[in-house]
Amino acid sequence: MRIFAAGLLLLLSGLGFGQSSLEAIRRRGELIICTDATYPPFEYMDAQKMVGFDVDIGNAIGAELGVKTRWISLEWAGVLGSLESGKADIAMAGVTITEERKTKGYLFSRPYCLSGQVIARRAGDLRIQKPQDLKDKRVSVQAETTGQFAVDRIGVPKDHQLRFDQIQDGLMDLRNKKSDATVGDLPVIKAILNKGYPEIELAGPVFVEENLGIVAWKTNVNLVSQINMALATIMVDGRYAAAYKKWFGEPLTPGIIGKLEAAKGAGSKVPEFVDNAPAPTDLGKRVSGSAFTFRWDLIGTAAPLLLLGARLTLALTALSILIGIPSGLMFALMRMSSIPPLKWIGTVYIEVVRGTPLLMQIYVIYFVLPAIGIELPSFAAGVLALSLNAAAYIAEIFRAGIESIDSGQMEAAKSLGMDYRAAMSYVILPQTVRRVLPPLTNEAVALLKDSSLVSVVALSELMRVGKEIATNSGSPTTVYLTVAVFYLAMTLPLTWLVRRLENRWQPISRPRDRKGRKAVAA
Amino acid sequence: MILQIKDLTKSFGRVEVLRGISLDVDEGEVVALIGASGSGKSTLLRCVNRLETPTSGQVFFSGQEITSSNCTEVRKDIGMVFQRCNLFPHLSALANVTLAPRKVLHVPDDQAEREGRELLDQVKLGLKADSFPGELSGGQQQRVAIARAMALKPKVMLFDEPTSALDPELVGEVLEVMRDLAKTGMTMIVATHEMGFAREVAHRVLFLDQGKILEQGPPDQVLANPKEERTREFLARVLGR
Repeated sequence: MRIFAAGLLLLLSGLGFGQSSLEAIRRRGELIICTDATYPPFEYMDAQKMVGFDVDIGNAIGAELGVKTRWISLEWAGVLGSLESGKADIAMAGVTITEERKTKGYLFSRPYCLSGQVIARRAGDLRIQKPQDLKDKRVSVQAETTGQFAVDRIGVPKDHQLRFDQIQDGLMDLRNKKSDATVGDLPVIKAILNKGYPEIELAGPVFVEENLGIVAWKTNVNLVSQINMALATIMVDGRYAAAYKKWFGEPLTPGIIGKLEAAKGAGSKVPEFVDNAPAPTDLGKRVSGSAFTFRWDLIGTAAPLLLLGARLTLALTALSILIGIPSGLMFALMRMSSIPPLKWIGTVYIEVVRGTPLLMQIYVIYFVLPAIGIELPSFAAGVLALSLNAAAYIAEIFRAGIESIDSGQMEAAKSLGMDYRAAMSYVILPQTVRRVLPPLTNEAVALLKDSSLVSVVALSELMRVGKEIATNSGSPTTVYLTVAVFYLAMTLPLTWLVRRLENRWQPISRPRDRKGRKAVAA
Repeated sequence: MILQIKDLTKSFGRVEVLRGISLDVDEGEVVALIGASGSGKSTLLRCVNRLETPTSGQVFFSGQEITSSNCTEVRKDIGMVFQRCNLFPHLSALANVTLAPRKVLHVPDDQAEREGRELLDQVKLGLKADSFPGELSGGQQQRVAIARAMALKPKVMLFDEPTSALDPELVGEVLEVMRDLAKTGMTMIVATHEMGFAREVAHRVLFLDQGKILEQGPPDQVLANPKEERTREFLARVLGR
């Protein structure tokens, strides 16, 4: 199950502290529940309505507390952070109860659902039967989840783990035969497979058992006690059983209730009967001040990993720019061509690529192309997506640059007996290159930053590595600031280098300016 | 007869710029085109080397009709100097002159450079070979442009008002170079407002008016005793008489 992945959202939301005590909730008449509605069967959007097991249970708890519920859906990385900042009272997102998370200041209700890790394989792939079979296979997981940790514990080497933002992407990767297996939460994988993955089946039963709990911030002891009471009530009055049957497709057995009862102690230790009594002082007073200290001690372990991420980011960007520049030039020339089919192709390509999100293009190249028989490994898919995207923007940069060259230059070249190709190569493009250098640098810098999007196809570039380290560091702020420094270390030299090049070329393109006048921007 | 123009017309949209021009130019002849701005001088020159595609009519160079498929070849034999000299700003004066010989005629670099320096000497810019266009005065730039056009050893040179964009004190040096060129027997068609130059150097003067050749003949006749009223008006305006 998903483990606390602190993202920038947490960073931002940590700035303000709200009040969400039980009394405040009752005064407000509303229990605010934070979730990430991309996780069937626990919570997902069905025709613009959020539905799922968590939604039914959460609403029942609200009814028990005598308040209405309001659900807010965030990206997973921001879900738990919203508790600390008081933007939500509780989180229900199929969250696994872990000791690590408790030490970070989160309170858990008693387990309200049992879960566990399972292995999914392509139907009939008998090489994969038990966890040990995964050791030498390529395994897709959702990044920073207990699924990934289970795979770690099995001993699957890091370079065989394909880490995705969403478990759906991991399963798609499995179907496309890029991974050999997927490890994830049983209920979730089951729910997704039921919606149409006939090529994939489960290999064996749950091999790591987990308990899911409802999460609150550490100041909300009373609230958690109330929630535990509410859970106890709905587990026996039939509401829990109804939701269970509805969302997991099988009846609730006494065995499951027995297990949940037995696991009661897995939640946080809170008083069993509290009704509006003040919170125990030792817990209540430790409202963490958000005073920030930069954790220098983290740098030593983080830096080598970030360096690896930065290396991948740099490789992706450099290759994509190297491919993007000639292809961009080609598309620019096509778009400016007087031959209709070429012009048409160039125009359509540029407009389609510029008019759609890069993220979508990455998805298409990695997940959709295999459907027509084009299989690309992550790195190649990443480079292809980035360079095709860059090519469209670079094409427009070149077009603007070429069109900015005085038409007399082309005429002079033609009058000297040059054909189009020679005129372009020796007269127009050499002048264009100098003019497009600044916008081209902008594009390179933008591309370097945009390359973080390819983490969705399981590439551990700088931003992804940063996220992963931040999750387990205890000081995401430190990690993200370090990541920022790494990005700057790559982008600043680039802009500096280009400024130097521009200055060096200045006497050629604007010779008069050398004699003291300031260059006027072209 | 090296150049023959037959019934040339050119329209830009609905505007008729050239309305039936016929002209024969002999080898070694210097023809001056005079006429008010907009009378079609530039367009006529640009139709000759097909920088503009004529709307109708034909142009023959040494008996061969110039078409869109052979114009790149033919342009090697027809040099052109523009009003705004259109030097390549990213190349030195010498490189401007040697570019076409090297890339179009594939002359070896050392030979191209030697010939390029000779040409720059001819236009009295031997010492400016390594300067970039932006470092030269307007007159110097125009002389480099003449040397550049000469580098392909053309048989005909077209001049499109080469001194109109220059400061008055720089006009003389450019005309001097052109005068020298005419003395070598180069066939030249010069669109110009310099009546003194036309009188002194041209063998024939053509007066263009509204896209037609209104009057032509030896300079003494056209410039001193024009037959047409419009020619007289034009000359009176230009010469301030």
